[in-house]
Amino acid sequence: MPLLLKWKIALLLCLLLLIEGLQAGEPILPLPRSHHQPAPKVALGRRLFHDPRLSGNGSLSCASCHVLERGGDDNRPLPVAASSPYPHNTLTVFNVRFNFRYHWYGDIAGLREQAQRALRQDMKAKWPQLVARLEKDRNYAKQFAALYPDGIQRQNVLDALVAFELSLITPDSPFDRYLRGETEAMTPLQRQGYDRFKSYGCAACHQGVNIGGNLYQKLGVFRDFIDDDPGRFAVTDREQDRFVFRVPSLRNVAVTAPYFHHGKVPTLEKAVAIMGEYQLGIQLPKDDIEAIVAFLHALTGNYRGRSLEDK
Amino acid sequence: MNTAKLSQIFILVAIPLALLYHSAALEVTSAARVAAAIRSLQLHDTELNRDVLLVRTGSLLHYDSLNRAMAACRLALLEVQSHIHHPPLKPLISVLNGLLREKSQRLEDYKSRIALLRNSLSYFLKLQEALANQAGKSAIAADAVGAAMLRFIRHPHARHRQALEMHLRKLEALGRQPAITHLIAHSQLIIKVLPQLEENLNQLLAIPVDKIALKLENQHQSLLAGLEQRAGLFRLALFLAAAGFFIGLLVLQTRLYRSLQQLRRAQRHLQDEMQQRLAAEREKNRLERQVLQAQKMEALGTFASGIAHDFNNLLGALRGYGEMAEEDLAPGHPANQSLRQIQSIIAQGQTLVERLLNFARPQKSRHQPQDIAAIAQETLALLHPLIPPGIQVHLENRLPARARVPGDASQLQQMLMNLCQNAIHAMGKEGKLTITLQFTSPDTIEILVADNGCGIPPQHLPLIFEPFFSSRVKQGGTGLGLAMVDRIIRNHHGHIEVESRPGQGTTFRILLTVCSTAVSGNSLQKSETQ
Repeated sequence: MPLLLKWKIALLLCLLLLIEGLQAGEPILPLPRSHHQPAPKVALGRRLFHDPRLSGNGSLSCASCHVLERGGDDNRPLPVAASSPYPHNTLTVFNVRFNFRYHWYGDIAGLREQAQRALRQDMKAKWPQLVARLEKDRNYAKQFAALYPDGIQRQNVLDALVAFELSLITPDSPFDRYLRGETEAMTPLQRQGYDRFKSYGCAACHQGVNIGGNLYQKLGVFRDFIDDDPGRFAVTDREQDRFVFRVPSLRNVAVTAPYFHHGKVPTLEKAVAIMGEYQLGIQLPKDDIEAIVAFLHALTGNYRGRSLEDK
Repeated sequence: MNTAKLSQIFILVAIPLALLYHSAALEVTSAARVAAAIRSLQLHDTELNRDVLLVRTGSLLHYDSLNRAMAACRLALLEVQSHIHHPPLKPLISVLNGLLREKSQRLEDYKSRIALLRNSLSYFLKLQEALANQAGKSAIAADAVGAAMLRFIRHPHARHRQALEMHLRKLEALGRQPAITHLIAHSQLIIKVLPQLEENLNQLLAIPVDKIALKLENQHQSLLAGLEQRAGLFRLALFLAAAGFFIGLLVLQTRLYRSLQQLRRAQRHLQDEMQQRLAAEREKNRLERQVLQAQKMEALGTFASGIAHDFNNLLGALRGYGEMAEEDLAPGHPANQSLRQIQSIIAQGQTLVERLLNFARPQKSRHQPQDIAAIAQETLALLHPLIPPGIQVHLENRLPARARVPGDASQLQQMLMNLCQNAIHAMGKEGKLTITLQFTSPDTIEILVADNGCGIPPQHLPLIFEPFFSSRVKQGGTGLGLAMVDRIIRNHHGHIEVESRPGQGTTFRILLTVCSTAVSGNSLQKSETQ
């Protein structure tokens, strides 16, 4: 009997520790430092990503809209090649691997489908033409032959692009360093901003590794968001999905202006104020906006060893 | 016939192949992958359910793990789909697919609602704290609202909701402060969202993904077991067929061996028979030749004896008249010389006739044991005056003194004489004649007459024993010498061979059978008594 009692106590202690550990957790997790993608594939994907020959008329590459030297987006309200009925602001390509669905509507399940759709709809690519163009390039032929037994094929082009996109991570932002225990990596104002971020409930939606990007939410809980874009209703036809969008990631948000799906909000201050107004139904105090914006600036990470802010 | 054989062969090949195909081991890796995928599906479904509850209790503050678990479930199901090809399991898989899709949809709604709830709850707590820190009635009311909210969040019963609503109304009555209005607005939202969330959660957890997955696992396993059992039966059948084939093979092998033996025996038999027939054929040919020769000789003999008889009469008359003419002539008449010449020629002619008659006369000699060595010596003595001085004659007698040959002494002597004369003619003025007597086997004597004369041309060899064949017709050869020799040897049941090299010499080899000891013994005794 005493043995059983001891076991019970040990079990309870373990459970307590577990729960304590979980309760002490932050809603946001730091980005991993390495992407674990094979270097040759990433190199090939990078070439393809920057190659305008992938588009139908040879004028656009993936990098035309996803400028890696800036925030992985085009910093325009709407993309150059806007084709869908409700054109949306270009999302960043950085850290895409941590999103659970893609685009503002979240109607695309994988990076492969995303790449395929972007090539077809935005870049007007035609596969036979594209493959023929790539086959003319000896370097491509060599690179593909080294990686894929069947050489230049549609699925291999997509695979290389996806591998490159998986490698696009921006670790070691000041906030990530803070989360890893480096308290001084963020300024006091930024720390205060994080506190506000959590206490206003922003972290209810903007959580996880990517600080968002892993659920859908209605835009305009306390006030209707006046816009003709119906949100996910356009793809699901469910009344409850009206004005529902995929929650965007806040990583590198300071370098991916302008904001919102329509790209009409040029600054972070305005964006934070709009979120307070529509999601909480209040006018956020100026100090708190300032602190939260400061915190959002701490989310800018490094790509290939350099901070995105420097570029 | 042919098609029947072909179909037989086809069946013999097809049966083992079919058995082999059916008894092959199942796709082990594929089965293992399906099992692992089903396990993974169950595991991640459980993980998802756990995390959903953790999110509800506020122990988990982000939804990444929910998405991960859901993605893992979908991946596991895809793996199952790509590896299961058994029709009975398809409906279950499609049911599972539908359930997962439904669960995914409910999970999205759940995430949105819980985020909304938590958003409002955070701000509610912030406002409530701010209000509670103020002095006065509003602080007490805010505390009461906070406590009621905590109870409602934990157990969203109607009772707790009513209590919360009551406290909210009390707070509302205290004033139109913006903090209070915001607090009330957010509380209303929570009151609205929380029951939906609870319902959503119950629906989410009620989706029987785990049960269907368990059912799928069981069915998959029983299916595999059934297939394995069937394969086992086929393996047994294959083994039996193999054993049957082996036994059949052994039987065939034995039969084949027996047939082979029979064939060999028959072949040996045939060979023997063929040789016998060949020997018989040879014997027949020999006999025929002998008969022919004998007939020829007989005809020749008759003919020769007829002519010789008449001729002898003519010679006798000629001799008589010659003698009468001699008597009539005075001595010393010159014609006497010529007459004497005529007489000697007549004598020669009579000798020739005598020889012809000898040849033609059937020789019925009485065979008695003869000392061949003595005969040879005698012959050489007789020959001595005829031998030119340049020719050396050797007699090599290697026979024991008692050796005897059954035969006729005069014939044997004539035989040797003829051979020696031929040899001397062949050598001309000088040379070497050797007569060798020896045993070749215990009952056979060999007589070798060898010279180193001119030899016999090869084209003449088959003809030398024919009567009237002579290479010295111009020198007075009659062509009867060797024919006589052949005849004498056949009379003595002997055998003669010739070996000749033109320019080097000729060797005649005569084989005669010796007297049996009894005969020789008798003769010995006789000679002793004489």
